[in-house]
Amino acid sequence: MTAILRKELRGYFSSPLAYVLMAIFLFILGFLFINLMSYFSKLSINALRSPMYIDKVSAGQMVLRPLFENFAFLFLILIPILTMRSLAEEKRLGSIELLFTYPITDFQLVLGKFFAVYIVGGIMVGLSVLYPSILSIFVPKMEWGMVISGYVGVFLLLAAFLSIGLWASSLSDSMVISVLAAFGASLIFWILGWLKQLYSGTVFEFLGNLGFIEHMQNFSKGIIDTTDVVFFLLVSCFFLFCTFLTLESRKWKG
Amino acid sequence: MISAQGLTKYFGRVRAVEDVTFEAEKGEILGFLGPNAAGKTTTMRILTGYFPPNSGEAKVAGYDILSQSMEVRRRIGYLPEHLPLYPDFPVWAYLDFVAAAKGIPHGDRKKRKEEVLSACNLKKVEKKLIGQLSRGFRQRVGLAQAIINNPEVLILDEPTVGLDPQQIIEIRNLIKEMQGKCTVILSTHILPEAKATCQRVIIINQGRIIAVDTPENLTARVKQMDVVLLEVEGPEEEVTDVLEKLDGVTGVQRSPVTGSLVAYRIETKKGLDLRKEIAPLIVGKGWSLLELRPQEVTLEDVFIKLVEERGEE
Repeated sequence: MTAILRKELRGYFSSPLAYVLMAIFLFILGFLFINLMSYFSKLSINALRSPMYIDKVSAGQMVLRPLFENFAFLFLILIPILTMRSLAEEKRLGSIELLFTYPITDFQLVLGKFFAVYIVGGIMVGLSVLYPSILSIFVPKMEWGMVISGYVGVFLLLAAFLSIGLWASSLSDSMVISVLAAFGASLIFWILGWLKQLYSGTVFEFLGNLGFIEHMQNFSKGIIDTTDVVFFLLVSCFFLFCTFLTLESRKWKG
Repeated sequence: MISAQGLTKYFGRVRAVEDVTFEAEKGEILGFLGPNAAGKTTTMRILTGYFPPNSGEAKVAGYDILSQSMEVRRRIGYLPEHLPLYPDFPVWAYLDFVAAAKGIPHGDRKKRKEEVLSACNLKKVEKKLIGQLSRGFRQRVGLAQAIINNPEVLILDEPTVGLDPQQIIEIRNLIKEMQGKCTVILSTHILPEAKATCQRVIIINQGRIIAVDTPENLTARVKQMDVVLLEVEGPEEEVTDVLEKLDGVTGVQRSPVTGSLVAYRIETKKGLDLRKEIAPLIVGKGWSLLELRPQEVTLEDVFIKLVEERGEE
């Protein structure tokens, strides 16, 4: 598995794709952060004039929470591009045929690919710590607990998006199909959360509970709920298993 | 070293291979000869563990390909037909990855890498990106990845396809160097390649094995007559008449070359060499004899004959 992981990391960092995606991610997140900071500073100035509002102006609620909630939107757009080459390129080059004849199980192959792309995604997310750090310079009582819970949620969300992307990448040898399938599947998990708000009933309640945004909200509020942790872990494991099954299908497909 | 018993594989309703049974001894180079879509690649993929057969069983290096797939994979080297290499990787980094993926201990990797780089004449391009290499060099990289784990069985699918004549000779020489070191299974649709490289040949067509033997024995099986080729400058009808009257001649075919020069193809009874009689006869008549040589029965003839026989059955 480590051989695959190292090879994948080499592949990611020897091409401009990972760097470009990281730059886009940090730029858009930076743009959002500046806007949120600007809004927060305006309200802070107003609050100084009206001390009765001072307790209601919270950097955590006004900057960190929307910032963490926007991670999901950025992942929806960028993660399919990050994962598109993972298995689709191996199929396109035909190198997957060789990998299947090396003493590596399909499961090890999937995990090697997943952890490699998770490291790349993790570095991307890790670099975004810059923004809460900047915020801490201006805010005397920084809510670090909220930052930690937010990042726990973001890293779990990242795992879920990446596992969907990896599965999509295993479906064909076309990177375009891989991106579209990953985007489509991720979008379903995005809009599922709306069902609960739009319709009533047990089915909609259940489907609505599968929405990513629903499960991100607690983390961005500073709450680490085991239900949300288990949900993201289950989604990740489910799609990793689907990826494994797609690879294994060569053995039983006629 | 390799034992395949009744391997059968279907893709949907299409039969790719049926009842493929053969054995390969240690150190032997065994050729899989057949036209495109004959079932060569499918058989090789089954042996490598890429996919299982629908029925039948096979052992590679003493291990069952299904129940002991990992043990088999540790002991084989495989080069698929369409060189699946990573164009963005330098040669050394690619071999480093393959060595790790094949489970070569960390301490031995550098030594093995040096050995295969040297064996495949890749030292001068080891730092180049694979995508920048010529087809010949890429084929050598493919071979290097296959042999880096010192495999007991080397499976090569059309290893010279797409190469120029010089590169073909180089790759053939590399394969020949493997003889005795490991068992090599080599698929090809190029008949001279099988004859030049392999000790035994399996002829496969439409998913079924139609013959297994040495190239020499296969040639002998088909050889029912001898053929002599000659070129004579002289009156065409008279020359033909003289040649047809020779004892043992079963047929004469002629085709003009240039001017009065005509090529003759003389079929004689098996084992009869008429060259000693033809030469003085032609010269004695005052005609110019420009060429006189026996025609060898090639593996190509064997292949066509066997395929025709199967078709008739």
